[in-house]
Amino acid sequence: MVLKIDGLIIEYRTLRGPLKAVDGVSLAIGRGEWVSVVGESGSGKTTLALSIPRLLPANATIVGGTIEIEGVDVTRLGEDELRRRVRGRLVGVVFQEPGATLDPLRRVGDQIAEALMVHGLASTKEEALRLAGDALEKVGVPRERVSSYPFQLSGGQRQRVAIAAAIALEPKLLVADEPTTALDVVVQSRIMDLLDKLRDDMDLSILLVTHDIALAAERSDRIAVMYAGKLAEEGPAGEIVIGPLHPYTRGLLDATPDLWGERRKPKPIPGSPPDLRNPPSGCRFHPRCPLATSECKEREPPEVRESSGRRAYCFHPLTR
Amino acid sequence: MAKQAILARPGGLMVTAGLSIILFYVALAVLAPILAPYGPTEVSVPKELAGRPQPPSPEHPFGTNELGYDVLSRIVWGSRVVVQVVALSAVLSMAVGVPLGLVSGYYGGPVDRVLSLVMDSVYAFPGILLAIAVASVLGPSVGNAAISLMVVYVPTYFRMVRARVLELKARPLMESLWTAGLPDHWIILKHILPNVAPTILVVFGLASADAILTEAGLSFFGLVVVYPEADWGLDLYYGKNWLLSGAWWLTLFPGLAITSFAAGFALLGEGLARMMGEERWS
Repeated sequence: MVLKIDGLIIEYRTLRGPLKAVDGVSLAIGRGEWVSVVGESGSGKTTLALSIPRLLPANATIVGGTIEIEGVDVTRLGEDELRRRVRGRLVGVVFQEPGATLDPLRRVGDQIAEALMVHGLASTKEEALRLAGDALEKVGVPRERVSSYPFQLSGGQRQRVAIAAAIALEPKLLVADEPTTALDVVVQSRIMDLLDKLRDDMDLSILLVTHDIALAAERSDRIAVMYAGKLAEEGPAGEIVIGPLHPYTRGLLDATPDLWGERRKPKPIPGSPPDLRNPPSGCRFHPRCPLATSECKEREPPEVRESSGRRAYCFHPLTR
Repeated sequence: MAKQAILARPGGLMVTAGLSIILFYVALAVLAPILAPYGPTEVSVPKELAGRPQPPSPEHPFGTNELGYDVLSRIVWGSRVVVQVVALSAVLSMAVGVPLGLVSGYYGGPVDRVLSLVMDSVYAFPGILLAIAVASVLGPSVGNAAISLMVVYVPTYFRMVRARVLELKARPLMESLWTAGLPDHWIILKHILPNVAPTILVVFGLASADAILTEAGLSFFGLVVVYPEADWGLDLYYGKNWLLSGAWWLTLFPGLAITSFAAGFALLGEGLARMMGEERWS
């Protein structure tokens, strides 16, 4: 396993009291595996992703659980070790806005090269720039672009450069936090193709955070659905979209338009996500769930496991 | 966009005009021995005319004062004092204010809170009063005047730099630098400082314009140099006694020198701000 998250609990201190953004989530990603974390805004998916390189804001604390990357528990490491061993080296991160993650005043090559130099992977500037050029080629940007400034590139190219910077140190895991939300669908699809190619070329594991379950279904091996800080369901992508076990996953799928299937209107999930400072009792989805019973209000839902490795947390799992 | 003529850009005219004025006075200060028609304390009128200020004439375009000193020459020589004090104080305020602003904004926390509190307390004083207070403790000299101006303008640099760093810190750029595992000093020097530099330049212009006026205030009260050394503010002080006798040239010309020099810096700062407002990256 490249990544093994176990019982992770992350709490934010806020002015109106503590907020558990991630509450007891366990998730594992194998070598070369692509796992997508899907959920609405405020489901805790970004918090989960950013906790892996330990890049949470200052008011967030990991209250419980472990995050092991290649057997290293990053929840126990100090800032200095995280910087030297984890960030960039074990985990690369790609963010949402492609332009905004690059320094407007520095050449693209210098920005990739600096990380190589700081981490001691290149001893001279020339060598670092050569490796930066290699990284650009891997993401399909011509080598000559090392001497370009970000404003000379298109949005799609900038996102490719950002990805090149994230993989330049050859990390084992790439965390991509909504990397294509700011791009149009054609560019989005090319960026996804690129991630797929990098996974094959570099044996890279990918954790994609997205609100787009259709995109996740198309690209990933497994999907983890998060709701209100908890895992609702997790398993092989195909099985999840064809036959979801959790009513929330069903709701997400029904809210997505289908281009090829029968003609139907997207059906929104009624209500809105709960305030995590004061989460609902029992199953957190019960106030919005069509199948909720009194049991759902009172107790935490049990884990339902299937032989394929699927799991869902629900009293009334759907059957196919 | 980069190749566009400087005059055609927004604020370009202001920057050009401001720079020309500044360079004019700097040249005046450097070349004073060549340019000034008389020495600063040279009695340049016949003995019988001394004792009363003489109005502007072909030999003395700006007139002379009661001691027979040529006003134009004293303005030329006096530029040396202002230029020195303002340059020195700008360097000192930047050297202190910019690093503190960078560190305070980047790290935040208790250090930031204490520094901000101290800086804001200093900032709350009216600049001229603070400068006079510090300068009277230190005694009159060019170096001491520069130090008192530094005390006044460090908070200006600090606050602007800190604010800009906070703004940068909120950008995705910072997250991507942190995820690359780059050390803090690297991020501050290689990424934050260059992005803050334009702001520092604007503050330099506007703070220096203010500093010239404050310096004139200090020298008006004899806190920079001692009469009869040539100094704009000091000449203003002694000239004002003759205003009611109709000798307007003793105050008008030093006053114009002070305001025009200050206007030069104000134009530079304001022009740069407009230029950057237009080209600021989002």
